[in-house]
Amino acid sequence: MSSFILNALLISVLVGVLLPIVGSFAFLRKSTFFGAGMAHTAFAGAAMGIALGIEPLLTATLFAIVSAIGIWYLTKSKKLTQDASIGVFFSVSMALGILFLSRTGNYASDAMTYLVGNVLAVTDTDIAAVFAVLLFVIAAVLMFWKELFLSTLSEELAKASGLKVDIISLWTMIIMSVAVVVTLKAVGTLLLFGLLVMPAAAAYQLTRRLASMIVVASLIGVFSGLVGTILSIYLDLPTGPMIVLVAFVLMAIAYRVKR
Amino acid sequence: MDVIVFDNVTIGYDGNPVQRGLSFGVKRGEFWAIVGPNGTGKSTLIKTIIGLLPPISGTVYVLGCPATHVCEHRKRIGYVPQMNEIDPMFPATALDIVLTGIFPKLGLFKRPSRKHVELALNLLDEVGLSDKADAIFRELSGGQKRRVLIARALMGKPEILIFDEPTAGVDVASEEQLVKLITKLHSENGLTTLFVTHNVNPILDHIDKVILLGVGFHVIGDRKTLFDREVLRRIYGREVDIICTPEQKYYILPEDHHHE
Ligand SMILES: Nc1ncnc2c1ncn2[C@@H]1O[C@H](COP(=O)(O)OP(=O)(O)OP(=O)(O)O)[C@@H](O)[C@H]1O
Ligand SMILES: [Mg+2]
Repeated sequence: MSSFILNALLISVLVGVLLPIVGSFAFLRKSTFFGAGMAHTAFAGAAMGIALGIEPLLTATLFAIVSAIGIWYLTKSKKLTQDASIGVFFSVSMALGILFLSRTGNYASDAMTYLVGNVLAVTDTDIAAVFAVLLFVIAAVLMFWKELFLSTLSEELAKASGLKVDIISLWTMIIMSVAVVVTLKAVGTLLLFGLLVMPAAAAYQLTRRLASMIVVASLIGVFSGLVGTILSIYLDLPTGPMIVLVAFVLMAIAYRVKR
Repeated sequence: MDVIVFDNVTIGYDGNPVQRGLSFGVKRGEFWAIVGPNGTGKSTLIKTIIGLLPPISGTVYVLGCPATHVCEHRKRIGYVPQMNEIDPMFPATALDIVLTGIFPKLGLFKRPSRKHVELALNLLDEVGLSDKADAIFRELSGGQKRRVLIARALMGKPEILIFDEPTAGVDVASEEQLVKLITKLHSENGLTTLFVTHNVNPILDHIDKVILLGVGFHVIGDRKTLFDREVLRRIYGREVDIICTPEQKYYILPEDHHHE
């Protein structure tokens, strides 16, 4: 097997674990739309990096983290609701992204990769980045399990228990935006949302406790990633859409099983 | 010494007062009812006592500590919030939810121990849910969910128990059982109890003091205040019936379920 196919399979497994873990929390905290918003701001950052000849991963991270903090601040200070704040950053980033895209010249196809995703385009650096973020996320979830559990169950009880709920939500937003950035190239801006939402939604139907929901969501994510990638290689079709469609079939099955 | 002391306190959000000039002292072991129409500040008062909301002016002391200080006194308060503060779809067992009650007493990165699980199971037993430890929280009835949250509030071995409308939206029989549980906790363990409710009838016999909240004003007094027609009319802005049965049981009917 050629090394780029191995890389493709490897990244689809890593992305299949990472996005459903953060997606499970986003799903329960009712902030999945935040993930969609982050994918678009990260895309704008990547397009800027390509247009200016800077490493796109860096500019995408910068864009995503700045937007995450901006959305957190606007929401927390009650200047805007969360969905409206996301809408602002979403659309302004997309406007910038498209402007940068029009300036990428010969590299337009590189930028398009970030839009639709391509597991065959990922480099060793991309894989290392996803792996590092995945380890970090798993460590954070294990270490701050109590805080995440209680603040997701009830902000009021979390506050009454002395937790700094605002800080917890800022950190979950920053971690989510970083997870989105590193997976962007593999699954693409337009399709990333699918791996964030569908494995979590399916796992929610199939399980009864938070820990098992996260584990099952990751398994569904890995399965979708692997099967989607293999199908796309054999059928010579784009990977991102195949991964999302497999995840959708699994989610549909989960909802059938549950009824 | 009073366990909760309000000295000329104005409560509200972002500098907008909801109630002004609250002054009272709650003695250890007393049972206080907090009553009034929607939006008059019952939950706001509770949040101020718990320290989630700083008072706009005046001083609030709870167990000898300023309420907003994040210090040890907070762990001695058991709080059962209004049901809309809890995500009804959260995936967890009843036992998982009860165990969150010990979280404030656990250090960073620490998990509940075997001992905590035993305590949680005992508390589930105490609230009448011994067979529901592994039941899924989101699949429990409204009354059972309240019991789980009461067990949760007891995990930290509190000295003050605070209930924000624990009986809202449950049927009459479940309400009676919940009230029985809460009054039992109060009388057997001598827990200072604050109880927000729209229906004082089931707790009339247990009330030591009441805080009646109207729109922008309040009346604080003992149980008899609840039988004062004039006070009730001002608080609710309408006529309120007081019924006295031959067995000397009083019923106050402030809700809209009669003569429309
Ligand atoms: N987070 C908030 N920010 C600003 N104002 C608020 C907030 N929460 C409540 N209020 C306002 O404060 C007032 C008192 O609200 P509170 O929730 O204390 O009423 P309540 O007596 O508990 O009513 P209910 O019986 O409906 O629970 C209301 O006018 C409400 O609109
Ligand atoms: Mg209230």
